[in-house]
Amino acid sequence: MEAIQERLVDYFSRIMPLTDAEAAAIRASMCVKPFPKGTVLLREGQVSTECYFVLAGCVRQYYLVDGEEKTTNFFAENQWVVSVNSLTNQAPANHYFACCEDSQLVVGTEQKEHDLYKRFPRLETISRIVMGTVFGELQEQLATYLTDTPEQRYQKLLQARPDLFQRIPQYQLASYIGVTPESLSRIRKRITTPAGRASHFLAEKAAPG
Amino acid sequence: MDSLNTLATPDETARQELLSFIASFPAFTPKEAGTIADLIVVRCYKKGDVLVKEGDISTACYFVLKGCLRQYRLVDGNDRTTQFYTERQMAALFTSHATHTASASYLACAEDSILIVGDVGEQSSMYERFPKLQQITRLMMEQDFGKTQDLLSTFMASSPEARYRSVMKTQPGLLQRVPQHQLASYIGVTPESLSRIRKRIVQPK
Repeated sequence: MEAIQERLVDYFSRIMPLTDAEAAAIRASMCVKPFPKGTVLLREGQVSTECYFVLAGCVRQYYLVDGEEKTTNFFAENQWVVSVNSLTNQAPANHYFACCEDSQLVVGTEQKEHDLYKRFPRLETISRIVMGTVFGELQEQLATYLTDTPEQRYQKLLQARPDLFQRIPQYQLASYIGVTPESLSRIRKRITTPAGRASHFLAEKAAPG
Repeated sequence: MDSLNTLATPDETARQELLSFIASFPAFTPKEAGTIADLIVVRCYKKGDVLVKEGDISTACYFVLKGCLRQYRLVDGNDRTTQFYTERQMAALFTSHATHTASASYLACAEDSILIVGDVGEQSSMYERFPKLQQITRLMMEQDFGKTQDLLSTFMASSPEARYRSVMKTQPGLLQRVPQHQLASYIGVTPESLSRIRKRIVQPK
């Protein structure tokens, strides 16, 4: 098994040590596919039938609001891409998933998942824990979005996911942070210049982003 | 946080509430429901009780059997509501199972509440004995997750009015249960704006 494909088994192992049989079952059932940059995995109106684990690359989530793309999330290595409501309730999705880089994804279905749980009940335990963790992160994301200024969101993003800044076009990052591309430029200048670092505390109070 | 124990009373009301909740799942016999209820930690809290404070490191999760929880942050000294949790919703204020980061939010009871208290990383023998319970937990979390995903995206991608509509759809009970200024804070508008939005929206009778 290629090193990159081991990432999923490693991910689960960090939550709970896997038996050889469990690890083998995961590897055997894994469906790994390459997706070129630009591939749309899910579109608005479509009912989702798959979930994805990112081995390599990046997937963007966005909405079309009055014809404009509003970016709401990025999923990179060791993250899950799943439209939970659409997948579990067979409801039409209200957003898009698209690869913003050439990516390698593990593609899963509910059926495959349930089969694995039947054979290896401990995998359901792992799944529950994963879900709880990702759910917590989601709730945190919501709370942050509601209370942080754009500049704070920028800082947090820079700290938590600095790799995104090399990989994602500026206008998409701006959308994600909730500002215009011009505002994002201004925020970056304020933060990266030595004078900016000191004065941006004042600027934050005085001027909008 | 041991202060939780002084706030909570594990009494008969809580157990009854838990028992009827577990028994509502056809997967369990009455006897199994009773056994499970004994294994689960359930507590009564009073309106105003604070479960998690900013700075706390917690992997606890709270499932609302009855009542309402409010999640909020202090932003420049202002109380900013970021979420409400009502019946059958779970509040999980941790960002990573592995890193145990300090909470940036407060979680408090907006009403007298009865809560199941658990740990997100729990690998208890209870789940091993009752795999069905784990499945049910996972499925309920999935539903909640899906709703939260939609809520987050709506909030990020929409106008305040659209956010209000989203709350109307996913948490309708909330509209009458919480103070208007908190609801406004949650939606991200002033209380005056919230009034205007509500007037604009025609409620079906």
